Amino acid sequence: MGEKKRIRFIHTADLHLGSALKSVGQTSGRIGEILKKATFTAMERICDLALEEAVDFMVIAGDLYDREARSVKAGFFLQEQFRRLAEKNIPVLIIAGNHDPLGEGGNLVTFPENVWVFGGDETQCFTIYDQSGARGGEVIARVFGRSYKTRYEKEKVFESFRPQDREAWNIGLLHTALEPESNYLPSTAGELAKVEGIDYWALGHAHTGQIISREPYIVYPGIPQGRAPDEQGIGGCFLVDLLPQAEAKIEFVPVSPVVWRVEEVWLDSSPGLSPENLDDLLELFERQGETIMSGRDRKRPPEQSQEHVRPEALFGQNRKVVEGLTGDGQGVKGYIVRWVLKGRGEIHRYLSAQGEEVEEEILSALRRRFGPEHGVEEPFLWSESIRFSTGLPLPDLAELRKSDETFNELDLVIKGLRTEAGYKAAARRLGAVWEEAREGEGLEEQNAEKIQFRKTGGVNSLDFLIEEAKELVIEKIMERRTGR
Amino acid sequence: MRIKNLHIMDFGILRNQTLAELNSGIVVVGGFNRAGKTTFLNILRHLFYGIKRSAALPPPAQEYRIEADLDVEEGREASVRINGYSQPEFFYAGGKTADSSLIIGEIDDFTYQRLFTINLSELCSLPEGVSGAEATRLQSVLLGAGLADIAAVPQICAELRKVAEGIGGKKGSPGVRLFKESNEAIRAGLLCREEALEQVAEFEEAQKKLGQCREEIATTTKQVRWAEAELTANEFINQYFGDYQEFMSLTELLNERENQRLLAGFGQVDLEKVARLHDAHRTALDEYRTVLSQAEMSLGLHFAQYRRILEQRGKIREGARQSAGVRQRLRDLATGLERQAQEEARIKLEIDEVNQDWNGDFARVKAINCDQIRLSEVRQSLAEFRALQERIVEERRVLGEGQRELEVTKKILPTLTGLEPRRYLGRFFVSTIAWALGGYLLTLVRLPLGFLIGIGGILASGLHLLFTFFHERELREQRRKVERDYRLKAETLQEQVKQVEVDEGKLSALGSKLREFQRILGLPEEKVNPELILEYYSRTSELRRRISQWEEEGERLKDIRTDLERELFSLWGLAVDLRYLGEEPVDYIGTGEKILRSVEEIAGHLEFLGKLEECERRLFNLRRQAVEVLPEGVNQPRSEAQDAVACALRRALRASEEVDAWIESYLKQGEKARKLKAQAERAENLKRGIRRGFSPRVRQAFQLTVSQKGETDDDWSILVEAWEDCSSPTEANRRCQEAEQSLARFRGRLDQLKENQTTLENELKKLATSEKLEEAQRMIDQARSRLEPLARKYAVHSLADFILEKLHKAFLKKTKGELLGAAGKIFADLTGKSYQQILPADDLLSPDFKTVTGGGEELDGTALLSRGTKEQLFLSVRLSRIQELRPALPVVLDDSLVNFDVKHTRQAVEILSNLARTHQIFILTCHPEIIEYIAQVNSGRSQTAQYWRIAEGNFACTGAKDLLAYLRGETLGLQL
Repeated sequence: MGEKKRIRFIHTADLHLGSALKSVGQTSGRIGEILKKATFTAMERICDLALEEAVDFMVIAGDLYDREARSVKAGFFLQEQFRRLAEKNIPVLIIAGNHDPLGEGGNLVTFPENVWVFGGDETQCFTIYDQSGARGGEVIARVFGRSYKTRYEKEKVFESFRPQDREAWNIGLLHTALEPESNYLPSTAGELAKVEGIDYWALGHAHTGQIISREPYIVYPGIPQGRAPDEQGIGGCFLVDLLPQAEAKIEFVPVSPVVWRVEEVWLDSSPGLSPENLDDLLELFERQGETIMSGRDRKRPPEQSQEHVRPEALFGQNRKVVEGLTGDGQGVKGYIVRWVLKGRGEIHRYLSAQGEEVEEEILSALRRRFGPEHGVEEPFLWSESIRFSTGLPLPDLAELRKSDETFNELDLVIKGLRTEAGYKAAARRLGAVWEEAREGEGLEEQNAEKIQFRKTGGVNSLDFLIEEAKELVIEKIMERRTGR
Repeated sequence: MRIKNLHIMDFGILRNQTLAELNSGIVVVGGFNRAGKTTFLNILRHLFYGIKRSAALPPPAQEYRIEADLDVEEGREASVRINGYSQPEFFYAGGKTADSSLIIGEIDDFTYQRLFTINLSELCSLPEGVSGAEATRLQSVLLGAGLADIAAVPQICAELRKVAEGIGGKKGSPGVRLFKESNEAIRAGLLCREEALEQVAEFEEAQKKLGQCREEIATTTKQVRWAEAELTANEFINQYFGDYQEFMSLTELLNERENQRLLAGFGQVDLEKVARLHDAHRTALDEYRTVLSQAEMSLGLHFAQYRRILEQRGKIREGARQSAGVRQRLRDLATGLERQAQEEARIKLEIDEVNQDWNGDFARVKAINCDQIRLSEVRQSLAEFRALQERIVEERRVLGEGQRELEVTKKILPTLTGLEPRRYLGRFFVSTIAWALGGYLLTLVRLPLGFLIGIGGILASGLHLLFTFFHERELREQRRKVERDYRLKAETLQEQVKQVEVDEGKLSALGSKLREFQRILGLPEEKVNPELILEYYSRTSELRRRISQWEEEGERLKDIRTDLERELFSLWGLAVDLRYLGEEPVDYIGTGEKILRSVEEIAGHLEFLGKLEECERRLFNLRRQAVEVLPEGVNQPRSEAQDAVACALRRALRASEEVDAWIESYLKQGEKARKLKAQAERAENLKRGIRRGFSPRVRQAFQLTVSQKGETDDDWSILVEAWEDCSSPTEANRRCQEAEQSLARFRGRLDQLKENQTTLENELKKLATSEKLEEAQRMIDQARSRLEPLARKYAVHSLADFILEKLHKAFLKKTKGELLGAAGKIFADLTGKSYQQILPADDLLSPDFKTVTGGGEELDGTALLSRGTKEQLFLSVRLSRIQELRPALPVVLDDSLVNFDVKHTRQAVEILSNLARTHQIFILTCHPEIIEYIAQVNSGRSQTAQYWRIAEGNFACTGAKDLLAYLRGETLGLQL
């Protein structure tokens, strides 16, 4: 019985080539170009990495394109990139995901011979041969996969992955939400772990990079290039080294040329220094912008364990990132920042009366300050928008609660809303213009006519909206009390 | 807090009323209807909160004015003042402004007015003047325990809903109100995206078409190439048909034997060189002939001497060179001689002008020795002579004038003689005596007069004596002066005479000198003529100079003549030697021109002969070259032709003619051979040209078309075969036209296909761009950016509304059990335990209550209760709330107990009396029994009630009995 040979491959997914970044319509010139090409640049960098590392193959776990509309431009772009890999005999194995199901039409462009797109009718197995022996040489790996034929696939496809040969590495290529009841290949991590013989589950669909399990490896690489504030942080792919009788080496390699950030700016961040006018406010934003640009804010300590890899957590740990950020021009070209102004202050009156003008003024000042016009080349900082979440100065609720029955009761009501039932009830009151974002669905599934919310996280979370509503209630009660 | 003193200056019918020292407990105000009780109630209602314009109150006479002194908590004193509609002003004792909140706490006007100031109409579920919204608030107030905030909740909720609905309607749907615009923009973006997506299908279709089009292009391109090849091949055949035919005929000619021989024979001699030699020889020969004939014609008989002439060429050239100079000098000599004769005549004429006596004799002029006289000396002497002459004339003139002046002086002198002093003294004495006498005489006649005249006469004589004395003295002085002058002039005259004499002596000496000059110049000596001497001297000198020149020129001409004669003699000798002249001439100068012309003629002939000699030499050299260049044996002339120099002239000419014929014959042969060679080259060039034209393109064309008929690799063979196959150029032309037509047809088809291909490619390129998708995304993003803040605002307001609703419910639910406990107790007391409890309604904020009877039965709502019980219930609720609220503001009850029966009235008074321990209570009534009960209840208490009677707006503090009596109509004795 032979031993498995070391293999090295790239695992990526959810490139969504052809989809535009949210801010692309606002920009022009050099920044506009960078944003337009961002998803393409990310893919190009992944191919560069494959060539540089001379990997044995590359797997793409679905959603290579965006929707059925496999943008023709994206097709030609991929053809070119895959041709580069073909020159070095690097096979590329692709499954179609829910965003680029095979459908009835064929490929718009013909890919070179090194590219294998798994069919949608049945599970297929692609054999990888040792490069030194060319095709016909020793088998080093087998990749099992099946493409989405339509947008929804409810079959438990992974059950048909039945590797026979255990002397080579077996890799399962699956586009799933890892949810038992789902329209996207229902599955759970436990079920996958039970499939015998699969050494590495190369998953796609979730846009946040995660290593779900290490025995066997169940890995989401995440979206290489975020397209909206919901997909903030740097994205990349995994460079995987499967080693015989040793733990695999899974290296996250960031490739995003553009990084989304949601930055909170607090009115009352400094006691007694609450901004009183537009200039003060702008200064507040600029200070935070400076912090971002000066890099003090870039190297954040890992917030989570390796089991749930957040790409930001890998800052400072990866040579590629370090190289990229030290200015070889291949790293982060810019940040798109959505600012959220929070806190309480008298300036709220001004903001609530002239919020749009203020946003326009501050945005244009920030764009000038941190854009190419200001001599800032790369990385630039493009301010996408400002969300105002401010209020008039209020006594602290905790203080109020001490002596006030109303606020005691209010606190209890708010706590009640932050339960499952409370969220449901609150969600019904958001209005028909809101819809809950479904887990595992990207920007494309969203109903564009509605605004999506999650329970927690971000300005559009129920949590956040409830917090704002609570503050509004306090404000109103205090108004009554003070007779204003 | 209690009102200590109340001053009502102006309020409705109440004016200038003072209620001093008001009781801190119960204050009863009794009076009939329209006495002013309700007005008083209104005063108390508004005392702490001010009067609003909207309130329906009795009007003031001028302006509402009320003041009250207050005892506030902790024993402090304060006051409140109302002026008109302004806010009430609070002051502490000492006039310091007080904050209202420190006086009346947090109790707002609604609570005070609805809770503390009770009239009969208040004691029901929906009091008069309370709106639906206020009913809820009132209920909250009645329920108490922090429900002030809760009371405000419905209103806040309404506001929040209004804001939310303004944004997104009742349901917050995307397509309404403020959401609408963004929603429409999003829909437009989505539509745009769908359109963009449809482009993909179009792309696939276009790509298929492009594939088919490319295949057709490939097929048609092959057809075009075949047609092009056919055309190219036939064009080539056609183009080179003539060349091919010429090549074949030339090849035939060159293959003839004679031509082959000539081509082989001629090769070693350079024909060009021979031709050039021939041309040079013939030119030289022609020139020789011309020059010979010219020489013979020019020299005529002298030609026989041509050899001697050539021998003497040095002398001849020398003579000819001299002849021009000699001729010029001959002319100069003649001219000089002519000028000499003219000058002689002119000198003679001038001599005659100067002195005819000389008769034009040059010798006489020359004999005058002008050298003895120096011109400067002559000029000086003449100048001195003239100057002396002038001076003497002047001296004589001066001398004459002096003599005349002396004469005049001499005549003047005798006139200057005066009297002698002795004489005029004597006259004085005479006169004096006379006057003295006369006076004396007159004195006799008349003494004063005589005395006066005598004295006067003496004085006058004295004066006359003085005058005369001075006059005579001046005359004498003048005479002396004239005499001295006369003497001086006489002396000067004598000196001048002497000077004249000296000068005349000098003039005489100079005259002698000048006469000597006249003598030397041959002039008469009798009279000196200075002007003549000078002119004569200069003209004679000039004549002498010219004569001298004339003589020198004569000498020079003589020398020239001698030289010329010698040279002419030499030239004459040369001409005689060459037989151009005969006898020796007598006058060489006279025949000089003839001699010179002869020499020049010889020199002219020598030129011809020189040319002839040169031509001879050139011909000879060319003949020698011909012998060297041409091969032997071909019409070679005799050898003597080579020795031309030794030959006589005619023979040399013949030799050259033979050589010329020899070269010409050789050249003809050579020319023929050269022509054949050119033809051979032409044939070769034609073949090469055909091969050169047979380019790879043409070869390819032949391989595609012609060569298919017979396989061969040799290009020439392919071509020969092609020409053999084609009968004539006409046939080739016809084939070309056919090929052109096919080509045009195929090309047209190809162009059409390519156009289709470009269209499809452009279409694909257009479809391949993602611009429309990006535009769609941009539209959606922008619209969503606008929508999102609105949606957030809607959500936050809606959620805030939701939170408040929940807060409301939760609060009420929580406090349901605790609420109304105290009210229930009062109610039980008030009803004599007929009821034991008051409970809030299920809807806490509905203006109603539940009750529990003494038997434990729960009655839902107040509708079932009797009017009195209902009023007792609402009174109980109010009193319990009044007890809870701080500060303890004054309570006012305006005939609120009238519907109670006796028992319950007493109970109520009891309760109020208890309340009066903490609160000041104003009880306004027209019912004596109530006063009676109050008096009874308070009689045993430490703090009794205070009684005020009010009638027609006037207050009077009174006792219970008096008030009772008044209200019962027992007394009308109003002591106000």
